[in-house]
Amino acid sequence: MIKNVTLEAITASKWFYRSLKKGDWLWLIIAVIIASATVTVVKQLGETVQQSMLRKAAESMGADYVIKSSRPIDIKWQQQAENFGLKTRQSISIVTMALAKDKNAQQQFQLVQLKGVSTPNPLRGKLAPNTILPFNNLTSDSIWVEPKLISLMRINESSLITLGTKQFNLAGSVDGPQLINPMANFAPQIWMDIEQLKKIELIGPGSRVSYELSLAGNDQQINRFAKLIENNKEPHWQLLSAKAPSEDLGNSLDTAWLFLDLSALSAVLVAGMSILIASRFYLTRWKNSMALMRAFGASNATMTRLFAFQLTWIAFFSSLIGVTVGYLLTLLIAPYLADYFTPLVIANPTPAILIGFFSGLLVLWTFAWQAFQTAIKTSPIQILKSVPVQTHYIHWFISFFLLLVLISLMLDIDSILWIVLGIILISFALFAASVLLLKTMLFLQRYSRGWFKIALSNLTKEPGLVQIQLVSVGMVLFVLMLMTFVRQDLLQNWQASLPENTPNTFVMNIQPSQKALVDNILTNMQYKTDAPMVRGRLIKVNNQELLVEQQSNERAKRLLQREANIAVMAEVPKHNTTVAQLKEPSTELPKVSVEEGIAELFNIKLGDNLEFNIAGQKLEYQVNSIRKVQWQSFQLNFFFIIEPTLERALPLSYLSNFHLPKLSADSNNDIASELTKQLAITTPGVLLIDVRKIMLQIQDIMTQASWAVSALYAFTLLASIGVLFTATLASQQSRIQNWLLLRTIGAQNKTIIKIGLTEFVFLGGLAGVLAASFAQVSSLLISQYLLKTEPTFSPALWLASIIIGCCLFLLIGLITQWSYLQKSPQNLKRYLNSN
Amino acid sequence: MNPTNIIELQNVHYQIPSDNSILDIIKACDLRVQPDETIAIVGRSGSGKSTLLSIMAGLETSTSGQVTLLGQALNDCSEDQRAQIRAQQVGFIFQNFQLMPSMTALENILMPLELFQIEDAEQKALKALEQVGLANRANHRPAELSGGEQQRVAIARAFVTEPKVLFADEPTGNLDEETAEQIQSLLLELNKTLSTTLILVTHDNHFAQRCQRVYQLINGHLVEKTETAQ
Repeated sequence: MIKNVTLEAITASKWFYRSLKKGDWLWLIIAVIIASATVTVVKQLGETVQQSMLRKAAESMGADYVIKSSRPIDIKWQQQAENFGLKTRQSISIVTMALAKDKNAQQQFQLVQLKGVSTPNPLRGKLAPNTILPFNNLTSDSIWVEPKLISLMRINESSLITLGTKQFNLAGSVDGPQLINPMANFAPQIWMDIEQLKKIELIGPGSRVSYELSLAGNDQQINRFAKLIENNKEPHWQLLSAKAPSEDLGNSLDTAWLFLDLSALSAVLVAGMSILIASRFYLTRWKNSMALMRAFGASNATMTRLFAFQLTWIAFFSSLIGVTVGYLLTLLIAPYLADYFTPLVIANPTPAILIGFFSGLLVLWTFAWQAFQTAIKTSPIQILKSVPVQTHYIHWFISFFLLLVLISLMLDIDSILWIVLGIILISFALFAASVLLLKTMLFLQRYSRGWFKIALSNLTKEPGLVQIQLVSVGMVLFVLMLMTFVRQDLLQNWQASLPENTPNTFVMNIQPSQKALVDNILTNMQYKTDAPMVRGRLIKVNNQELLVEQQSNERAKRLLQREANIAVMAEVPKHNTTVAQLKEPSTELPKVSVEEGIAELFNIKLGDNLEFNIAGQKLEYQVNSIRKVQWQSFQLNFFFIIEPTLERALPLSYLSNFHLPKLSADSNNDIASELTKQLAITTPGVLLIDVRKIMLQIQDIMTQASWAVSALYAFTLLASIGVLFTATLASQQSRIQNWLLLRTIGAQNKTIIKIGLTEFVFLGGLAGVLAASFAQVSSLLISQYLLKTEPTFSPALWLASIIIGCCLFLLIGLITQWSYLQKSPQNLKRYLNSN
Repeated sequence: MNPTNIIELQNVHYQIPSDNSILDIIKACDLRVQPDETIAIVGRSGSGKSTLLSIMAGLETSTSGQVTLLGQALNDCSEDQRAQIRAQQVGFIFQNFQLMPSMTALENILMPLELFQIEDAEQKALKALEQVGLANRANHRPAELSGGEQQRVAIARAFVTEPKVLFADEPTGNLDEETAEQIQSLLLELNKTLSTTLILVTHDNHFAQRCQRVYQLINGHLVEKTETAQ
């Protein structure tokens, strides 16, 4: 038995090699190459893009993963991390007052965030020394300061800074890593050695100290450690990962990752369609040979093994070429990526190559399975007369199972169910629609005349083939239209989230007495907005006290422990969207508008009464509206907006934001330093926070993601065009037979061209109708349920789809068929004989 | 059943459903074929000649009656068992040659040998090509060969496995008179030299007369026309 199988494998290999030399299997090979190359490119580029973006986010954080805690972090976690092969860095932060003294004994106080670090350099990214002060390494007697402290505290290289019980020299000025949420720490930073921080008696039992354990390493190490930490998470820990530096950004990027995966899947499905059509083409071509072999006495098992070996060879050989092509493409693209991604982290290509290779194998088996089964079951009597082919439902299940495996290779398990369901539903619907269209064609054929009738009859001659063509082409056009729609929406959303004039500078802590002075300094600032605010804490909902220990959610706990900024405004700002509004207030209480997320967190409903502790006063408000806030927009946004009333005297301060022009190359001469200096002199205590660097980083990330999305979209588009070419091949032989017949009976070139091209235009138009119908339905569903926008019916979409379908097919028809349309009957006959 | 018979048909019927009725294609056919015999089956188009041939070769099963090929009752065999009988002892020739267009003449002949892992395949195929006078056309594809040459390749392919019985369905139907004559001679010569039983279906009365026995299918019944031809 084993000997037999080995011999069959050798025979199959011989046949495969022979066929390969003669260019047989070409379209199957091309389709598999497209599939595995696409998957390799998409996976490798996607992984490179993701890792580069992660590295960028990690550089912003100074690490890949950070454990933040209000209590000291047990040293065992650091040891454990080091055992996992991770690099570690400990730091302790405390907000304290710094006292600067210069040569003339002039003193200057400033609230600072003091950070004690175990190693001077961050684990990710580089320390950025500033040239304002001469730069030296940290010693036990020296510190580094953030540049804006130099103007705020009016210090120079000879100044001495007192922190706790010790005086320090200045070792230099350093730009710290930029945090994604700048409002979280607005005090300027000072760095010192961690051991010194422990000695200067600033850390006491009641101090608000933040402990951090930063970690860096490869993805696997980080994931392993993160899993361990999440399983042993202490309630006072906050875990930050470079993968989700901020919730909003994370959501946008998640959509981008999903798009990347979907585009890879689309490319594979598109290639799959090509295999489906091509395998049918080969099946028709090989049917007689199969029947001949059966007539010669080849058993079912022999046929199965011989053709399975050959198909496996095709899959193996083409996948190998595919991954090589894909990998070479990624190497070619890499230098261009470097322009978009800094730093560019080239991902390890092994996973992409393996996934690409197995996708190639699977895509061939998935989509060629039906043809393969039909082929090996060809009845020997087929050699003498045609017999109808019986399809068994079990083979559809096998194809479906293979498709499931293929999709699971490419997507997260969570998304599979929906995607597979979607594919099945759309395929069924497309199939039903194609049956309907076919019936329409038959109806039209009955009432048409002349060349148009011939064109229609050529199309309807093989109903099964037309159905497969319509479903495949419809599916390809549908995927393309849907991708166009989603991509456009994704890009538009990103652009809208950070428009050009987005405020990028904040001024905080403006007391009412300082308001006019600050306004005066900021007179020329563009797009300036102000908001009066108070600091307060939510303490009760409907008279029920909110206790930290009752909260299971960490965020809820943090929000209850800290005072929040509460805006005091009569109206909700225009950049917020009111999602629910109380029609008639049921009490005399002043109104409060609550942010959607907070309302959900504390189960706050319209009409609820909220009690705040504002500077010792307990004040009640009724919830009048719930708002949606885009935190990533850098507008002035608040969890709560309370209504100003004359009866309630609130300790107001002001918050401003405005737009500053692009950051100048020389940060010392930048407008922000000048403003900081002016504010420090004129209005002490007022803080200026410049977030231009962070915004640039976010914009960079968005640009990178947009680039990746567009590039992969283009790749899928190219793969789809390949499929459309294959779609015309399947009916090539029968089409040429028709033309030969028409030529033989004396049809002129003009008529044959008209008939030939009409077939293509008609097929393209019908596929366009199918694609438009499904794209329209999907876009309506997406608008309604995902984007929550008003669904619109788009006649333009229909028109575009039909025109694109017709034009594409006409073009493909012209390219692939033109030479045959021009051929003499003798040459056409020769072609048919040799195929 | 006589064990010396290569083929034996006993009261064979073949019916197919048609609209609301049943069509009788073959009715109560009886036939016994001895080793090395040459048998021709003639009849009008659509009379069921090819169907009868395919029943004898085990490509199709009769509706009723007994078909024995090389001592095996085909009606009791599974598709794979019938395939095994064909693989070991049956050859085929068709009107439209049924050559694989993408394969050369040599590769077409090699196909059955390789299919069943027969040793020295290439030498045997080359010898078969030589026997049909096409040694110099080994590397030509069917499209580069004339109709007669294509049928010679098909004959070589059929004989290369040294079958005990050869079924030929209109082997000269697509050829001109002169070429048909050559092919007929070749077939009969190979039948003699290789001791292969030849059963053929033809429209060509001249060819049928060159066979030892001629049967005619009339309204589904197999009627012997002559006892001896040569």
